[in-house]
Amino acid sequence: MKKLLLPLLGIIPLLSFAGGFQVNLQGTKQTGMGHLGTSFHLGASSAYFNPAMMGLDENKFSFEAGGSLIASSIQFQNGNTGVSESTDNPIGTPFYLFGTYKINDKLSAGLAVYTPFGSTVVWGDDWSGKYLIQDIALSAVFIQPTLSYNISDKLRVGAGFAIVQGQVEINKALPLPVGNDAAASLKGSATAFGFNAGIHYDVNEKISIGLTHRSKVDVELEEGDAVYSDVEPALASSFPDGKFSATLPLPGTTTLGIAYNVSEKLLVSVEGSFVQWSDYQSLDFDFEPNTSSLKDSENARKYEDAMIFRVGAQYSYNDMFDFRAGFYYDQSPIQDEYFNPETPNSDNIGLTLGLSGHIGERFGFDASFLYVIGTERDSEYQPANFGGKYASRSLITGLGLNYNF
Amino acid sequence: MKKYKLLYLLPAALLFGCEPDIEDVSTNGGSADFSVYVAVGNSLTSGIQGESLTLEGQEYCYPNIIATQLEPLGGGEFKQPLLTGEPATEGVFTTFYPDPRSNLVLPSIVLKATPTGLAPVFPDPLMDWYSAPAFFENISAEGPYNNVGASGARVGSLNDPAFSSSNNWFKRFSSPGETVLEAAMKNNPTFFSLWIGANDVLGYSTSGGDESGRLITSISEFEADISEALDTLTRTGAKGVIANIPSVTGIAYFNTVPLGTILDAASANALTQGYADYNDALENPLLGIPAAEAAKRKITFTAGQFNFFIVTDTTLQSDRRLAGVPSIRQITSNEHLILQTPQDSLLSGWGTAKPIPGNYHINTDELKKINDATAEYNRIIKREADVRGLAHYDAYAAFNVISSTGIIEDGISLNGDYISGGMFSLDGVHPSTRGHAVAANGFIDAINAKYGSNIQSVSVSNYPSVEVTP
Repeated sequence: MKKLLLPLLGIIPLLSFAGGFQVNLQGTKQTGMGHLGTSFHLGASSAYFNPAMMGLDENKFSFEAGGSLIASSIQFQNGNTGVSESTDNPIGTPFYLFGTYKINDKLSAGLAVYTPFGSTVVWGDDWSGKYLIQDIALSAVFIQPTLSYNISDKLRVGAGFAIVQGQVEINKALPLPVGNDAAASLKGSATAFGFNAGIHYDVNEKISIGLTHRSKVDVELEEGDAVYSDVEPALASSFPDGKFSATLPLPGTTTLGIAYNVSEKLLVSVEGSFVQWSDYQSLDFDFEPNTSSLKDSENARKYEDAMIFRVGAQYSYNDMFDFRAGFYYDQSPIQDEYFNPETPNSDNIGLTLGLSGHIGERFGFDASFLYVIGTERDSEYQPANFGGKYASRSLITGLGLNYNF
Repeated sequence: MKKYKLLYLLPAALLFGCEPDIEDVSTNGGSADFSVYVAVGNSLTSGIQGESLTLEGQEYCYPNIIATQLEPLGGGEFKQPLLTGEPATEGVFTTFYPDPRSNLVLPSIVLKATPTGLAPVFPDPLMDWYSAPAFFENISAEGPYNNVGASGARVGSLNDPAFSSSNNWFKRFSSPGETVLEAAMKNNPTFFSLWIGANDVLGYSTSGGDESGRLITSISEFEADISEALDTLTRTGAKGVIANIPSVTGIAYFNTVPLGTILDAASANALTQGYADYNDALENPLLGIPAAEAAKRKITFTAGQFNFFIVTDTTLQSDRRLAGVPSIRQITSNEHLILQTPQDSLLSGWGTAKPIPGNYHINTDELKKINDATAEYNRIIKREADVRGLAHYDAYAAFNVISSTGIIEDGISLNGDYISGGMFSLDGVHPSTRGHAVAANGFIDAINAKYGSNIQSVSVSNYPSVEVTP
């Protein structure tokens, strides 16, 4: 079995993200089994998955760090022309850091740093949808101090306060009636706040239940930089470099999970998440200064709430190795009439494999492998009269390390 | 070790399989044969933009776009009578000489930076080039040409042997005495497009209506000529598409020059004074002008408000009692001034201190004649298409939507506004490059609907906007 390890580690990843622009890769162990972990404890990453579980750690200190390499490819077949185009996305690298400290039998403290939202899509400067988007990079880093409290042997709660650093960069061509194509580059960052709270309950020795809610976070970009390039000199006064503000809502997510310890070695779990994407109704840009050509813009997104279903299993092979596998179905929040190539997410099916190795008492490493099938859909962004068929594939390799003492 | 190496290949293989695969669109021609396509028409078909022809205009004309999309369905070479050589300097006709072949590009309206911003610069004088002396070398021997669009062609020109000598554009690529239809049929076409008829009303309209001396083709003549053209084009069994005529009064050419202006108190008072004698005469009981006539002619200027310009209107009731009273009145809101109404003259008192000459003005009467003729022509075109089982592109409806509400293609807003609308070239009559792409898609949709083919459309975003000349 050891031989399998090499190819997994050898993979140079390729890509991607979940519904909308959520990135669900917060723990390599959990990712290996369908990215579920709300109802059972797998180490310091509980600070993200369910803060209530931090007190379940046997160690005084527990640390986890890791990251993923995301390789993705999105293909588009223009509904009018039949011509196919595809993205040239760079490899994405979401990461996480978790640390928990058991203050006493009741109380634990933790710190979580993670990137639950992000998206990098590069269609190129001269593709047929260039007036909608050429490339976009979104990212949000959450820093979350967390506390948990064991109410009884069976019931525990926890909550964290998240400081969110969000960043957006959007490049698109301007559809001017005259002259060469000019381009707009919008770049901004903002700090926002949210929380992550959870309850965990052991029904009996075999079954446990977890419920979490991660709050909505409005990333309000103020004083973003709007820069215009290649504008005809005669039109330059219509497109003065300036500032913009915009609000990007990161939706709240409520997750309910159940874990069942089939035997000492085998654990299975199912989870359902409800993601409040309906908060993302519109992406509005307020430009400063405005000119007759440069008006504030409102761009309908009209996302709908979406569900994610996950199922996964972990098998503890021996003292050295654990194996994991999982599956999830991540529903697209985007309606067929408002499917914009800036965040082109269809219903995703995720297939995962994972493995952990324990080296001695304190040290361990984890690897995960995730293949995401973005199912084909035929959709358009009606406000721009642009659409066709979209499909995507992603290969995500995750690697994590943990140290406990 | 060997085992390890094989395992190492696995991830590479997995990555290779990572590309999503959307099934290619399979093309089929339906019940039509697109192997030899000819385009018959006027300046819209030949690719005129900005009142002139350029190599770029020819490349981006709708027939060439259609022909490119026909290629995957077995469409053969689409030969156009392309211009050669470098563009002539705007407004300088002498650059056509001494070698007409090397400078065979006509001066066009260009968009340039001016102190007040981007503005169209008209060649001076704007050349009515197709009636200018011949200066083209004949290239008919290199034909036959698939695009036989000839700028200036009316429906009656298509079967007129004299057209090859009277029309300099057609003369360039036809043999003496050859008709446009004969030139088209030399290709043995299996498929044709016909977009004709705009000049049958446009010549009258663009020159100001009744004052132009150019007539609207009579309905019976139009009917006979279009029928004859279609008889010829379908004689060998070719299928085809025929487009109707957009509302000429909906184009930017007729809807750009404002119909009036806002006046300050001093100007309004001065003008009211200036026209006092005229207004008095209208109401002079000695002249006995009917009240309705007087009301139509009465001129009023109000300070701080929008005041319609004054025009000369020779269609005003002629009556010996009106002898000596100028035939002038204020424009009404549903009338039009043409794009070539001199802007500098408007600034120096045309329309206020002096009437705008009638040849820049389309009045309600003329408007009715234009619209009635267009409606009749389009009725005939639709009937002929139906009777003969041809595809029909309703350009009239499509361009009305563009002019009224505008359209969006690939994120580009297009409407009928002059320059800023993006749909028309700088002459305000002929479509821009993007306008041609929109029209080509309209033709393609009509063909597909009729013949069950699936010719693919083009992305309007792949076509450039109106060029700015440095």
